[in-house]
Amino acid sequence: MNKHSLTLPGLSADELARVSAPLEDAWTLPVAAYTDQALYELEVEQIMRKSWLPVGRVDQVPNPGDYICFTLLDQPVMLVHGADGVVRVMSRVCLHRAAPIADGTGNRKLFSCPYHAWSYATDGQLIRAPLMEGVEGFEEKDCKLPELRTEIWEGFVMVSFDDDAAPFAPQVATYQKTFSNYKLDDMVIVKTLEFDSPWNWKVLVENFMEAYHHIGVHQTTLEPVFPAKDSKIPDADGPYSILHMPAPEEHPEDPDGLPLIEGLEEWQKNDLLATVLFPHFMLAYQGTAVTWYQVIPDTVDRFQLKIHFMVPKASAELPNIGEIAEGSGALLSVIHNEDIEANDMVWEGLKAPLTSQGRLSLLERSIWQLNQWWLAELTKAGS
Amino acid sequence: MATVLITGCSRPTGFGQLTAKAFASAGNSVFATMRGAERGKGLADWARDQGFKLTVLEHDVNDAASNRAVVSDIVDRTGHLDVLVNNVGMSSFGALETLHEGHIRDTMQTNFFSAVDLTRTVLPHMRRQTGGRILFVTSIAGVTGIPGESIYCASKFALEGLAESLAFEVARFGIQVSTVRPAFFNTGMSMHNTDASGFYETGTAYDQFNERVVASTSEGEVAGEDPQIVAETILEAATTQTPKLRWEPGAAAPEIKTARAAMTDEEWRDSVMEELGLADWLQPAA
Repeated sequence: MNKHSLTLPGLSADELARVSAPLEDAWTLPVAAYTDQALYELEVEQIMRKSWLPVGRVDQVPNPGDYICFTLLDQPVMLVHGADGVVRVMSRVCLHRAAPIADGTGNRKLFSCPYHAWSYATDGQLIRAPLMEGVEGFEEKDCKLPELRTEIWEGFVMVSFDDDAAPFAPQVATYQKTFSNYKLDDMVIVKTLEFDSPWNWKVLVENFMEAYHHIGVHQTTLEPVFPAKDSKIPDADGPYSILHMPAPEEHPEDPDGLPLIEGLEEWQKNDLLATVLFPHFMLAYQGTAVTWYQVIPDTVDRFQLKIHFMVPKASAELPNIGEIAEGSGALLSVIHNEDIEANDMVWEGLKAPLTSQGRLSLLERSIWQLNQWWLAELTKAGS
Repeated sequence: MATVLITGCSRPTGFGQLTAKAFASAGNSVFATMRGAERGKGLADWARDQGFKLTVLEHDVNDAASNRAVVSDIVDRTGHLDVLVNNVGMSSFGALETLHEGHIRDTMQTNFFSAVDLTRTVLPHMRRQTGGRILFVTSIAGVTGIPGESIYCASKFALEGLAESLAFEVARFGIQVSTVRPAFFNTGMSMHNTDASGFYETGTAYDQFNERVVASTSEGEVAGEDPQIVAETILEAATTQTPKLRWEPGAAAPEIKTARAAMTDEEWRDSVMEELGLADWLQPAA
């Protein structure tokens, strides 16, 4: 398909051409890409349901029977560490009359539906359906909760609704190699912050992936340590983007009290890297910790955000890790509150009738990278 | 602008809610807490209409888990906790001998131990951010004894002693401690506790005394000053560039303090009893 013949509902060919132009000539996504319901539904079908989405970490369900419930793209699901040791993501809707069989988090040997007490094992197998004797051809062993396709990548539980989706790891092999020193699969979450986020998901992702805004929004917090003008965005050979924020030579001592992750290169110890695995799997790497920004999409104009602060297992065993995690959480919250103000402003502007596409800075190459991927995915055959 | 936690914000004419409004109006991010957060709906609606940053949170200061949850929630949401206003308080009347044991313990718990726990919960965060203000709403009852308010005075004297001592300990971390000591303000607090008879036994040698104490407290309150003065004093105490340990809002509190200091203990006792219409209580029973 020729770039100049791209079409998407509600967007003009001119608007799309501005998005797909080379970075030096490129514009932001059209306003409708953030606000239009029909376009969001297309995003859900073409992007969310076809990509790999991170839904949890194996360290969040360390023991057999541990589970976490959530809802993903209208599907109530749970992440469960099965009695057989396998970590699964499965529907938590009862196969009988569709009541959710679990809620929240915890540890169970069996999931009993509160409606008619049908009980499922931790692998989703129906074990007991009381008083069903005499129902023709009904057998418990034929009933198992539907499972989503999962792939464990670096300790993250990735899921896809698409049985035909290419495996995740090979798509991001170069990325994985770049960050292998951080040993993500050896990390554990020690603090989680939660924010109800009343904007389109891309408003946050774009805010996360460029450092240009440090000179405005974060001028007293991030800009002195990671100046916007020094930020770099390398080429990417897959569905991801890397924002590299080098620290000036006089990098202030890390105040968070955590030891450096062992085996890092000098630049990895000092610099901040904000990466996005498309569509919205955001990881920020520092010398001592990695922060995962988890997006759980709700609607075109709202998502839930969980900010998970992760450290190597050895750091998580420090006697004062609780206090360190509180302090790191507070710092993340200060920065995120600055971003909330920015995103609120952007969202107000995006809803205004005179708003249209804007020119991208060369410091926003990451947004351009995401936009190219977004366009390609949305206009793929079959849409 | 500061992130502020104010406890005991349920009643529209109480110090807590008025203080929450004062801080929010000044552009701060306010967390107004109370038992039964639905009682804060009017406050939350007011803030939304005005476009102020104010969040009502469910909070039982007598529950350590609730104190931890509220503080951690605020720090998670904003990254700060700059000002703590320990405002929650309950009134207590009745001669010591007649007070129910449970009421004595409830009063000390609600007026004193809750503030101890919440302050201890907040301190590590303020220490980490190297700064903060901790305020205790005490009372003129933390300055002088009052007939029929032995336990209330004990709880407020306790807070005064706590605050003065704490100030020595935390100055190093940039944390300022203050007490705000209202005298008579028309908050409706004692009207709110009209069932004061539930505090003490009746049919005792103190019936006449207790009735007079309850009546004079209500009278003093109805004739009291505008509680908005206290709210503004708390705001000033928390934001001034020249913080100080003690604040006496309004006209009556400093007058009482001055008068008390100018008299002998016996002169003071006689004048208070005279003022409350209890002069005859100083005479031996016939």
